[in-house]
Amino acid sequence: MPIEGIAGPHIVRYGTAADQKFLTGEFTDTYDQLVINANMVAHMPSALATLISQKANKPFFIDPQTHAFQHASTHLASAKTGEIRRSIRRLVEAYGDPIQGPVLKGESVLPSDFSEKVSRDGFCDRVLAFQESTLKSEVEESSDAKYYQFLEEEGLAASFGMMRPSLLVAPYFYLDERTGAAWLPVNIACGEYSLRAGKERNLPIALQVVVSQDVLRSGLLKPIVDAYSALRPAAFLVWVDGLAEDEGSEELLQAQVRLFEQLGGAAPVVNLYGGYFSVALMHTKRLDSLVAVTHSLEYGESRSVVPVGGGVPVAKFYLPKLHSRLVIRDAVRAIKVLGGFASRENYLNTICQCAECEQIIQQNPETDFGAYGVTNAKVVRGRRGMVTREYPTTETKEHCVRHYMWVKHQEYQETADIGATCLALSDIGTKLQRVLGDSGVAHCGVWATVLGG
Amino acid sequence: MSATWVKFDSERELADAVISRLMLTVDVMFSREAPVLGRSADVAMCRANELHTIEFKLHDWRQALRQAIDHQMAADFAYVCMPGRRVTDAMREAFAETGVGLLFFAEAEWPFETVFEAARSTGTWCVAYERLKAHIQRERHAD
Repeated sequence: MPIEGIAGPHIVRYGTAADQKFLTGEFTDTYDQLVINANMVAHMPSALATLISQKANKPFFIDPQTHAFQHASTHLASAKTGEIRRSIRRLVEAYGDPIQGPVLKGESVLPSDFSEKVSRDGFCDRVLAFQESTLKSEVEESSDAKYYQFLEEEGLAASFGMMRPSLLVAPYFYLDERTGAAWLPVNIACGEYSLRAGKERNLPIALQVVVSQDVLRSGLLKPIVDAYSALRPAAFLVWVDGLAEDEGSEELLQAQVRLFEQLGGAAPVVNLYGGYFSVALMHTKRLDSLVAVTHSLEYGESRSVVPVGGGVPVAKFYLPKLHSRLVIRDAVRAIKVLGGFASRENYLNTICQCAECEQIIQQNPETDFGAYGVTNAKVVRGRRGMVTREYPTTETKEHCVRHYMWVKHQEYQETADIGATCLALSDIGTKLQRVLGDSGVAHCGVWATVLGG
Repeated sequence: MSATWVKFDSERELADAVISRLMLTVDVMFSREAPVLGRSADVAMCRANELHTIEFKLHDWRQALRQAIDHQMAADFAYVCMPGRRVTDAMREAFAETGVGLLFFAEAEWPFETVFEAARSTGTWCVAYERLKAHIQRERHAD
């Protein structure tokens, strides 16, 4: 059944400009919808307008990222200059008060800043307007407007209407166990107003529910679910802070499923950061109310509310049967155990037959697989003096991302019953536990248990 | 086994002592901090056309063992090197089970005293092996 504002089960989050090549061309038909962060819209509206209207030609919606302003202002600053980042400043200026005043002074936004209805409603209007019209205005007001009009008339590109998001997201703030009680009324008030405003704008309104993991096990969960459910939006966009499904405990994943179930009683649910576990919840029909799962390119199956940066970028290989990304040495160990290096045919049958693997694995799978792990060694300063670190080459990263995107497409396409899915998970977990260790395969057992319900 | 073991304040000091002696040898090509599949081996060396890796640790032999197991993917033999110490039954079992060898620092020209011989690695990945070999050769030419 079509869900208002949700184009299909497979939503991909646009991360950076470098992502474009994996969202267009041969990958255009591998997903249903795009979600774009508001700071990216503020930062590069012209490039995004081109992406949506001409290259990807996909329905989209914008995550307004209003929660960004409730955290310490250091999270909004550029690491280089210490100044508030330019894209964030543009967003703040578009959203106006009550966030603009505090944020431009380097302060965080507090629940009390939203106590005045007039100010709060005006804020909601501006946040919704930003989502609705920034990209459209970019096209209409650009020097290329006539060109767009020509393309539209000739049927060569999507219409200006394509620049309208498929849904609008009400302003929202993060709820954790300590501060959630104070922010919940703000979220609900913003949701109520936005739902009314959405009718005037003739666009469905989704409510983004962003909670900490501790909320899932706290007494605050019921009031949150009750308050949101009473609003009956077009959809709930759910984000559990830092919940990596392949690392989560059974108790945590059960709690996540309960949250989906409870909110799903009032409106369809989209998991904004999810992996195969959520996809399996969908296509085994374990959870009817879960209608879509979002990921970004490789790294976005979980996300912390406050960005945690740094670390050496490591190219990882997504092992399809394990539904998990592995560092190259573990991927090699696993593939050896699974017999994937015996021949090309074995590799394609037992490991992966995506378009990328089909192209890379030609004569000798063991040697050819090296393309997923080529690195450049650089000498950098480490804790114990100068050390050599390996950085994946651009080609390696691209191989890994392309493989990931093809496999994700397959995962969303598959249909399976719960029994077969659980059996496959248990089987791969048993086969690989010796080489990857208990912790490397524990998610298989946890997922099978929770899916089996 | 020596009754008076040399003491080191840091792993770097231990590695420096080993390197200074390896530099005196003529039949060994070696590289320090050699990249191995996202990790690095403290020393990787090519001797008699075979690749060896060595991970230095002052105390935590279990962590060194874990790192050396990863090195087995790129070398014929993987070792842990420590200052001389008492060998426990737990160490004996763990090293035997994994096939990683254990070396103690020796003050002689050849800087190692072999406590446990490493078993030839059965988990070598040809790609990692060739990359490590090439890295050691490049390092030598860079010298």
